[in-house]
Amino acid sequence: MSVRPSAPDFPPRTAEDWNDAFQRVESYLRAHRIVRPLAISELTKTIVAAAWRQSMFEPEQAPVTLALREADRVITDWFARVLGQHATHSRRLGARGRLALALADAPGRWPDAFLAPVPPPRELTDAMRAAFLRPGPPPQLFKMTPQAISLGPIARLVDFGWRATRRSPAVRLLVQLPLLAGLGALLFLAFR
Amino acid sequence: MNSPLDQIPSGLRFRRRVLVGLVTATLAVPGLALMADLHWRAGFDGWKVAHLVLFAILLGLVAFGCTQALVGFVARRGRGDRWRLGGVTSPEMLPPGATAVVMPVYNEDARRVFAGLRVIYESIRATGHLDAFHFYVLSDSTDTNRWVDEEAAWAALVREFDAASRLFYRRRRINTNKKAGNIADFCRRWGGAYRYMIVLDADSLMSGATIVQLVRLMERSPRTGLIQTIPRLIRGETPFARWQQFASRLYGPVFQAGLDYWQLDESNYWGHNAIVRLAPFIEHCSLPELPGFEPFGGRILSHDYVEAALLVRAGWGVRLAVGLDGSYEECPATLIDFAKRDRRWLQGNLQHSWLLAAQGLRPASRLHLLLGILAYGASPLWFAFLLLSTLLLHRQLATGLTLVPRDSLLDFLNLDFRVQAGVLFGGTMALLFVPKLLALLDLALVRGAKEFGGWMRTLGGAFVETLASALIAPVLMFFHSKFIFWTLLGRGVAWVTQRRGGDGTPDWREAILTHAGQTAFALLWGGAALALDPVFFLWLSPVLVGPVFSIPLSLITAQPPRPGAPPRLWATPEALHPPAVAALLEQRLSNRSNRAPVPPEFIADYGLLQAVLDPYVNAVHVSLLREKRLPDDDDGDRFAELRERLTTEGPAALATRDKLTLLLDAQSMIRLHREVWSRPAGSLAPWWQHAMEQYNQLAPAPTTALDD
Repeated sequence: MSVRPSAPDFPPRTAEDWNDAFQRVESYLRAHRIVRPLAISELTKTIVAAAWRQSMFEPEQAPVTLALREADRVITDWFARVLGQHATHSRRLGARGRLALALADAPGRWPDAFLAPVPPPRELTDAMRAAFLRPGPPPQLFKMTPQAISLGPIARLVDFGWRATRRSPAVRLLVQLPLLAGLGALLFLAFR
Repeated sequence: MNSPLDQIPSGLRFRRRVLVGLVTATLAVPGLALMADLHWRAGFDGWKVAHLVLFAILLGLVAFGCTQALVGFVARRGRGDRWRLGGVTSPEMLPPGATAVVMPVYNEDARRVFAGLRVIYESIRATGHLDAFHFYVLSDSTDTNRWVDEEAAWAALVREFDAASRLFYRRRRINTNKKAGNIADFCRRWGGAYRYMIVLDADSLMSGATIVQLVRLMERSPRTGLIQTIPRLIRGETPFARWQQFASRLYGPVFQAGLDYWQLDESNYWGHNAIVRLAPFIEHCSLPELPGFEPFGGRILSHDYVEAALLVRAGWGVRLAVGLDGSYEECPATLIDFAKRDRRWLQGNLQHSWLLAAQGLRPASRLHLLLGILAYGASPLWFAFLLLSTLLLHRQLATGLTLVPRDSLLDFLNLDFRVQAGVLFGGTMALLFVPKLLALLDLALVRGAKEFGGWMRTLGGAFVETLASALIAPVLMFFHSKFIFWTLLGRGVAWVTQRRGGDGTPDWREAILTHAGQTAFALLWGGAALALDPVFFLWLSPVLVGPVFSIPLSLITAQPPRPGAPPRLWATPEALHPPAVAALLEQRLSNRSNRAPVPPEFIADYGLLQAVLDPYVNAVHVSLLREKRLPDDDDGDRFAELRERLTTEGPAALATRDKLTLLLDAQSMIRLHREVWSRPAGSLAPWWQHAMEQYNQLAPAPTTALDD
């Protein structure tokens, strides 16, 4: 949907694709466990309005795409401010910030702090900066060499026979035939 | 005065083992002589020699079990065996950070795994010794749902306990050598940082006090390489699980004391609920590959017995902590689940045949390996014995002659042929039932039956348990014989996919398809026996009743308890008065059972759904993936096509392998999170659209008369 430079600040209420974009942003914020309806509504409106303005320059982009890109920008900027020098400005910043939010239990302990217009509390900032996950302490690599076990002559003989029968169908047949014949003879003797 | 932590004198080991051998022989030889004499009186032939050999092996096993109970019963009298390993009460501090509590998991219910770990963590914290421990969940999970659940549950636990430097989670991409390889991987990476490792199973539960005791015992006994605790069975709800719990709790103590009496410091390892000294474990317990190929050769599946044998071979003590409580595990809920577990264990134990004659192993270790093989191998032997008994009768009747027994070689006994057979049968039954009577007597002498709910319930439970054992033992004989037959042919056993009801009720279809063969075989066998001789049929019928009724038996014993009606039969002390850790675990699990169920359309790919859509689960997942060192503008996007298909067609369009590939790629997971959320509905699979609705559920307007 194209927008003229003189367009209003917000998409028209009847624009289906912008309604979809509004709902998608709202869902995305809820997915971040923002629960207060007023906060969700206000943030969504701001994000959609920014996306609407952007659509003037990128008319080929779908409203949902523009709105979610804007939401991502708002969230990532907030992470960059909170994490400060602890943040690596890479494509992983969003993920790093979300991990920090989760580990600091921001949705539980500071439900109104995330994306709020006021700076976050110091405790939240500290908790987010200290948050990390790792699969273990730095490894100290050790060698574990398999123990040699001498299995004895019988096992060696069985192993030799096993390999021989496995490699050659002819040898396998030579082993199987006497076994089957023996079984047949046993059954004959049992029921004769 | 010796302490149980001192070096065990080799003379003591020898004397005790000679005693156990003599008692076993005393119990077995008369029965064997009576059976041999019966065959002699009826006329020996090759079939009877085979019959006698099978009888000797089976009777030897029964006599050895009875001996262990007898010896254990005596050892528990007075002040008990002075070499018995119990707790240490001294309050010295533990070495800080020297013990790793490791829990290998493989596609287990993450909710149960982490609830158990949480309880163990809290219990250790309550002892004041948390600083001495680090915790590792070592995942080999291949099911993406389980994997993502594990990551999220771990992150939640780390957050709750602020334990990022104490509680770790590592998942292997390739499950080389299964559980043994999982533990070995831990040892190679982090084993050097710890003095001890406490190995748990996914369903293990141990109290903090017990874990602290284990570390103290190891500190006090520098030549001990491993201490195995005896886990008690808990949380059984179905009659089958409660039956196992009751039997192991009631009869266990005398058997365990007997086992500990002869094995002393050459005990065995059961793979979990044990403490291991890491340095000798790393040095001596890396397992070699066996000659040949699977199912018998290749990688060792049942690693624990072999690891204990290798530790003992290297001169390290392996002990069974008979006197230590506070160690628990769960048991299979149904007969079919039990059989499935046996199928896995059986193949591993059969592999041990290679090691029986291995050079350098101690005789006790060889005996452990042999007993492990016979735990399953006895089933086909028993089956063959019964079939051979039927055959012998057929051969006798086929002659058309009346049996005229010749004079007995044991004529000093002055027994009629039929009376002699009856005495033999009675003696064999006595060997089976004496341990149960000894266990009941032990209970009366030690604590009384109050902890089992009183004598009426205990005796009633023991009586019904005996009947249940008699019914189920032949069913297991059929199962094990089939498993061994298929294993010898190098084939797997196919199982019916279980479809338990929503309320946990068992699956009729599974029970019918699993047991139908046993029922048919038992009916045919019974019919043949009846046709041969009605008296023989009566003798054989106790073995056939269980398999004939195996379908209803399996279903009845798999029934979940009725809500609000605690079962009265087969109560155990742990069920009547749950230990603190078990009660806490139950509380944790019930607290979390209030979560909304996953909609059925998402169940198959719920892990992927969360890892892509949920901002926090996605972040946790990505943080655990290795970052590829690639320039920002070129990430070598090899998976763009897979992502596109996943986004536009949904997870059903991708093979499991492809989903796993995406889940293992950090850039793909970051991109998928962004792409799925920012795609317009028209270019997004309906599955994703529906999944996103979960985050924005708007209640529909109430229907009014105006809407009609």
